[in-house]
Amino acid sequence: MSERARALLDSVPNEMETTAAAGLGFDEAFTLHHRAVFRTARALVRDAGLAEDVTQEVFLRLYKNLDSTPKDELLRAWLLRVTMNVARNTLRGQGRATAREEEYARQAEEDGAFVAEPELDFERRTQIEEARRALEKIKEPMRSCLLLKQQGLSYREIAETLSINEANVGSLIARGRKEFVRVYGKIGGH
Amino acid sequence: MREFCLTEEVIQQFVDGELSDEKTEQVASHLAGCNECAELLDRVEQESAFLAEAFAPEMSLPVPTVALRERLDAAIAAMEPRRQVATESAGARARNWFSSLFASFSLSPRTGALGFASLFVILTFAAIFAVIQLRQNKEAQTALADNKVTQPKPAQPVAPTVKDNNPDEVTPAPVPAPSEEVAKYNPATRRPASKRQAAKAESPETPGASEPKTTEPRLLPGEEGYLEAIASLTTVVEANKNEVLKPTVRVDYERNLAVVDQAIASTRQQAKRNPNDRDAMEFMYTAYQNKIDLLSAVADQTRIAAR
Repeated sequence: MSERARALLDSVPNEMETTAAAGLGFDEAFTLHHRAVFRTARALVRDAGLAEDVTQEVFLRLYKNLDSTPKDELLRAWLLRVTMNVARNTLRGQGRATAREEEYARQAEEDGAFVAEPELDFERRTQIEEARRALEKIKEPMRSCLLLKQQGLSYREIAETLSINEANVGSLIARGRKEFVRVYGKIGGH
Repeated sequence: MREFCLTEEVIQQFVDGELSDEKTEQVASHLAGCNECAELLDRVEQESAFLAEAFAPEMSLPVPTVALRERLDAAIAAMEPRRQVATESAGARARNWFSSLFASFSLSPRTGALGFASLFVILTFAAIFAVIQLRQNKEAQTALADNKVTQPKPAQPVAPTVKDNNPDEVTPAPVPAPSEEVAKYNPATRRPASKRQAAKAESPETPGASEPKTTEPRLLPGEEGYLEAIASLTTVVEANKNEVLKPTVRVDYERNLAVVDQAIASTRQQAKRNPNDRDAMEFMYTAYQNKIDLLSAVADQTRIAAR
């Protein structure tokens, strides 16, 4: 931390500090990372409501394990690793329901009345669906690499999140990107 | 030169800003003299932009920050009743904010961070402004908004912007200008805006000159933490940006900052006008959050460059 930053930090009066020591870090983690967590969850579970549940679970786990989670730049990687696990479990639990919903959505889409996120215009909704479907066609771990890259993660964070070798991330992203462009072109006719 | 040609992996790392300074220079000088590799770079950049564009709608979907925070606070309160998370003092929150933002200085080096943040900021506002514009159309106030388009709004820290806003003023937010920005999803097509915005970037700034006073009576709930954090982070970024940011990056930063500030001003006006409208509030927080993200990315950049 720079001298300047330290000085600014110190300028906040001590008497205003009433949070327990354990609380420090949790709020900042939420503020800085809840969007990446929510977006990653939503991309995986494909439902805003479920993504909220996942986000909640992830940050509750952080809250419970605040002492043992990484404090530094790898916190986001930790959060997203948990996010992916929780999202996977959620999907597993929702297996039957999801299959039903997807069948319904597919049917509705064929009928031209897909209403999963009714507030979005049709074109945007279609584009989101196409991107999600294209991403689904990509093999792991390239798929997760692409997803995390879109969330702005560094190679190091991606490697940490997916427990893979950092040296491989660049090539995985390159391969995933090429594959995505190919598949997406097929799906959307772009 | 064949044996030195770059692999696609290295070019990907180059595009993503993941190479060391030394390696970046080597790659850049090779690219300058090798047509094949330059073509490959072109393709990688195009496909990366294509990928970003494909995910743009997904990424610009709103994140329900307030709802998430409320649910989480409720769950924590239920789990551990003695800890009053939801009612912690403003001072503590401000302090958390300070430390969280300075913590971002220790993030891993990501030279691509600013680029991503730039794109992200633009994209996120697509959603915000679409909705705001809808609302304003409903209120039949678009005529006034048009008058604002030609007024270049200097990139200025949010604290003064917000503070100077007369809460009772009913001038509609300057919507068309940001919409124009927002239309440029693709980073490649975003370029032409630079010149126009560069002029804005030259306008004088007074970073952190007026930190929001805690006594400000018309602040909306939860705003204070954002304002304090932004003011302090702005001070740090502004103090270093001229020395360490490349001119092109600086122009990008200034432009994004102007867009973000405009977004904050207009979302805030909406939130003030409709104090019970959760969506309006949500948009405002998103706008603030975007500014934090942008500043954090820039702070990261300045730190890397200063090494």
